[in-house]
Amino acid sequence: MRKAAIAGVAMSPIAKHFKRPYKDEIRAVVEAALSDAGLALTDVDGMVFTPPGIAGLSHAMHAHHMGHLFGLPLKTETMVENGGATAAQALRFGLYEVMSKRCDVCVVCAIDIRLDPTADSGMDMSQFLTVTVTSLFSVYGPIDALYGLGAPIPYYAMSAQRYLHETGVTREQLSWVPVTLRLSSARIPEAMYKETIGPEDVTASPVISPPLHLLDCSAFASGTAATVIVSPRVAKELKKRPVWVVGMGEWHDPSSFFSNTKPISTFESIRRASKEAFRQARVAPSDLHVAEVYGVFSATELIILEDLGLFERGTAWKAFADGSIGPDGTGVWVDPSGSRLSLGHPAAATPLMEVWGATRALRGELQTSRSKLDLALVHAEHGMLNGSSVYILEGA
Amino acid sequence: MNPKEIIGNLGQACLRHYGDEATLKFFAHLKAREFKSTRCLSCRKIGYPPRAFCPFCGKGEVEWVDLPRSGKLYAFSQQDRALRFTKPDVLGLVELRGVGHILTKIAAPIETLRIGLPVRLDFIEIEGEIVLHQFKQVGGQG
Repeated sequence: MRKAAIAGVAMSPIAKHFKRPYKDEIRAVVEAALSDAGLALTDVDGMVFTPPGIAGLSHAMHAHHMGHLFGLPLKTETMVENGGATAAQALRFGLYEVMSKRCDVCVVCAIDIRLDPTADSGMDMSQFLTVTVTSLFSVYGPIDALYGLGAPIPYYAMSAQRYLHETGVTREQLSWVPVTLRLSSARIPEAMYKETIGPEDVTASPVISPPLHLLDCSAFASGTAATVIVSPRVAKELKKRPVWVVGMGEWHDPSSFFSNTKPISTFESIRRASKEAFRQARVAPSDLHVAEVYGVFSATELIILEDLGLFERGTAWKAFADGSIGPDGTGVWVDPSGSRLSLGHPAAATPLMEVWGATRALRGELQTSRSKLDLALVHAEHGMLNGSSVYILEGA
Repeated sequence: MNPKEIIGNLGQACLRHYGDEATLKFFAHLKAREFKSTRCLSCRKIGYPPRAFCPFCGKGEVEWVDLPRSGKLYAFSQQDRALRFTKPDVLGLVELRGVGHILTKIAAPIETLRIGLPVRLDFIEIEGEIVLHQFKQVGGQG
């Protein structure tokens, strides 16, 4: 197996709904990622896609229709899906196509779409609810689904409750998470939420599922992102210095959405997937300059950072309160992409937005007072963290 | 059409499509007011949700056994966007000894709950459709 590099990244603005048909969004973001890499469409020999909205209408033949959309003969053309980790696992497929020498330039394009139950979208409320109820069974499994979960928020709220109960971290300390993450998103034009907020704004926002308030939650949104993966031979010819993928890890618990027998305030999948990635990259958590994590709720952000080994259990909130994880801080820079809470969260595409943040931070393309950043981690998950994917990226 | 009607209409079809035989049997037991899951004949561990094999040791022979009808509240929350029950919809994880923590409906106002609270099994019938499990406070009404 040879090495593979990330040569180009792009993402669309993140918003509740796309302004144009999703195929046009996909075309634009793929062209932008190739332009970022200094490559043309005709250089591409592999493409990996995610479903056009994991909770949406049928996705049959999506990858094939994308091949048609781009008018490209391809050696690889496929679609990968696994909940929130969808884009991270699509990335792995693309990386393997390049590492195994099948492809030289493989584009991974991920998208998620928030359904729009309006006359404009051609979907009325009853059709919308039918799709929603069906996906409820698909996502939460046939037993929990019958309790009518409107979203996974109650699961994560209970995880947050246990985390606070077990660690002694307070509701007030938790509020620093959305506050400090907003400092990074304020500098990202594509982000949904850019206004700075204070800790009192978090607890003043409506309670969604106790103990979580609105500002503790990521907003499910529409968005697309693309990553261009290239072989060492191609990387050598490009103007921009590549970002190398130096470690990969992945682990899945054999449970449905969450484990009925393991803790819900700390997760084995994070520890196992990151351990594999760190070992492969021959680095330790303390070597990281950047961490992009799939923290879709405030408490989840803290749990992930602690399970990755970046902080002792129950202490990560301090790095949010003192700003050290922020764009101008001195500790590990958490979520330069703007974070799940503030960038907006197109779930199945989010991991490529994280790759966007890590890559641009390593290339020195984001506004920060930090000096050169060399090593980044990207984490993604599915279910309630009963599966995790971790990548270690190294700047050249 | 509201979400409750849609779950009512689609629920059985979704259950057959997304469930397996063990899941269907689990709900048949609930309909008979029995609260059961599967126990491995080899390692004797009880799995939840029920499965046709043992998820712990991988052996293929299991038996249906009664689950504990009392437990402790492991975690709880509520949702306003409730597709099945009237809001505020209190959901919880109940810790059953020897089984683990399972998602269920908690039939009590959230203000009266705390982690570790003793709770007991109750059944909730959705007319013409299905019987689900829910838990109530020990000593609570009903």
